[in-house]
Amino acid sequence: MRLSRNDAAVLDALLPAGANSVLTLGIAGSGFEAFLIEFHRQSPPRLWRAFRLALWTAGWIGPLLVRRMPPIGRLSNIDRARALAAMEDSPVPELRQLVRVLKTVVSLHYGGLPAVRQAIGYP
Amino acid sequence: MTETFDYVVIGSGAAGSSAARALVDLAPEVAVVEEGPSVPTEQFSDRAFPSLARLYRDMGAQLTDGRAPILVLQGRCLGGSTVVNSAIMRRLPEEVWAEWRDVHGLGAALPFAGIDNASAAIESELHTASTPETVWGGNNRLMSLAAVRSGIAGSAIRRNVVGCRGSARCNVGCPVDAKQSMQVTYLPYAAERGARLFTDSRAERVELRGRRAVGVQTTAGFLAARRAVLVAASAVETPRLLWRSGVRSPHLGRHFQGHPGMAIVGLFDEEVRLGRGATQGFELDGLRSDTRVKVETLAAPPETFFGGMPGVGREWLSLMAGYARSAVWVLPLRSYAEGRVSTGRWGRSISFRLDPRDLPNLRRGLRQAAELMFLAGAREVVCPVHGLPRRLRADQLGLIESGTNDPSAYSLAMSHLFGTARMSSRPEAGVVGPDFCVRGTDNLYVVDSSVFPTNLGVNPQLSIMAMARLAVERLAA
Repeated sequence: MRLSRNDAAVLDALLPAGANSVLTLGIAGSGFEAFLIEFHRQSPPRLWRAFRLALWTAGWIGPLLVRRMPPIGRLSNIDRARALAAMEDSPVPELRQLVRVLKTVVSLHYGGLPAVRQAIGYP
Repeated sequence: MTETFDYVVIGSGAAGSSAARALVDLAPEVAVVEEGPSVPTEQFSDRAFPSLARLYRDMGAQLTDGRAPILVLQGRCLGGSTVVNSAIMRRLPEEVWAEWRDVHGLGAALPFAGIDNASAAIESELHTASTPETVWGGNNRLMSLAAVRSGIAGSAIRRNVVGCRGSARCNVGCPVDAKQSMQVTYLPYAAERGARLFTDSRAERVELRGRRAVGVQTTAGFLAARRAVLVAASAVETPRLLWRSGVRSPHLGRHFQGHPGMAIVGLFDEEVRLGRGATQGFELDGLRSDTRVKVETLAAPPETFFGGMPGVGREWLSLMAGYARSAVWVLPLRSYAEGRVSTGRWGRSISFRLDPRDLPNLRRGLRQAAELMFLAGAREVVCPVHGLPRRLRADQLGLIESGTNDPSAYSLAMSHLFGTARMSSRPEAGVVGPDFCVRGTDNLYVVDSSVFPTNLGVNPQLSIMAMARLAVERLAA
């Protein structure tokens, strides 16, 4: 499946490339779109809908939490990260839960990558 | 398709398989119906995604309803949750049994000695022993060190494994069949003696004619039962199946109990090698009497570890990168809460809200577990509660205990589920009688943890197996 520019901006802010000396790989270019095709095929509809809602909310509501105009794709990298961090720290539990959904799905892909596993010392 | 058997067992987890194993010694014609697939060992993966998709209900994303959802983890494959649990074998605590006797009037129906003797026999059949130090790995070793330094009671976990290599993969299916889960033990035993296993077959309803259960309508056809139908579909699915079958009781689906819990992560300077060693090899019982919390190690795979760590971007990556120098301990809580399982507009509905007494207990347990992490040498501790600093230093642990009473602030999960078709000596107080038979029927039995009148405070696998065995003994008598 193809991700929109805003979706890609959300995911890139969540896991940027080159931001850590051990985990240099970011979500971009890691094959996440191919993973999503399989994830969509196998996941329960409720989980898939929650993931899509989480992406949309992060893209359009997240910027408002840091007083920036949405969508997130128009923001600088720093503001994108601030928007997601604000969602994760929000007093509104539903916003926090959506970040959790995003991170869970991204982790299912990222944590299974051989390069990532090697970098963190997973046998 | 219609086939006829003496007994039809619905569910192939700890309860259904134990019942099937006992039943084939009574009569050879036994059918076991399993909703999930049969996944052979060689198809187990060390990746979480395919494992969750094939082995878990709802890909491991089943949630309770409401503003503070709790993850409810269940296996959904041949062997049920025994394929994805950590092989922990704990006997029914005598103080829990005393509650069953005193509050629920089940002392005579379920004598402690009977449950304990059945447990001992199962322990022997499934090669249960303490986790040897050779497969502890760093995570279990650190908890052992904390127990010694604190003087809090702790021990190596007794597990049903043979030849464990410490691959830390219990929760995605043991790659070498070391874990004595049902699909490599009791189910083959039953199948060799004539039992038929129907996988990818959902039980739609039990067919009742008057007081008699005559068979089970499954997605694969009708399975007629000459003698009895035994339901062991889990504390979530059993009440829903009974409801679809026309069973009515004000207690059906109610009294849903569990052990909601959460994890803390210790960040160490030294290598812990989280991905090596027994998945859950050490436990602390010493906090149970004070906090109703048990502390256990858990070797999480990278995917689960990453998903549970706080932060986004650079901060999140930094915690992920510390995987090999992290220890993960989990704290299942013996909750006071009772919830409800039903079928709502959107399908399965699990209502469960923590009792007001639960969060103070959990926070005390979290604080004490965090203190133990520091005793073991942690530099910082991650305690994923909204409102707390992401990384706690030793001098900040008081913040945990003074934390919020809002349950949505806690990242909770539970996998031990009980009570939705509970047993009672009084007809008006439960769904099944002391003979495990659904009241108002002659031969429809519930043999899984749905019948447990309370939660246990310890891992229930062995008690579930023992109760299923007792149920078959009653049925045979």
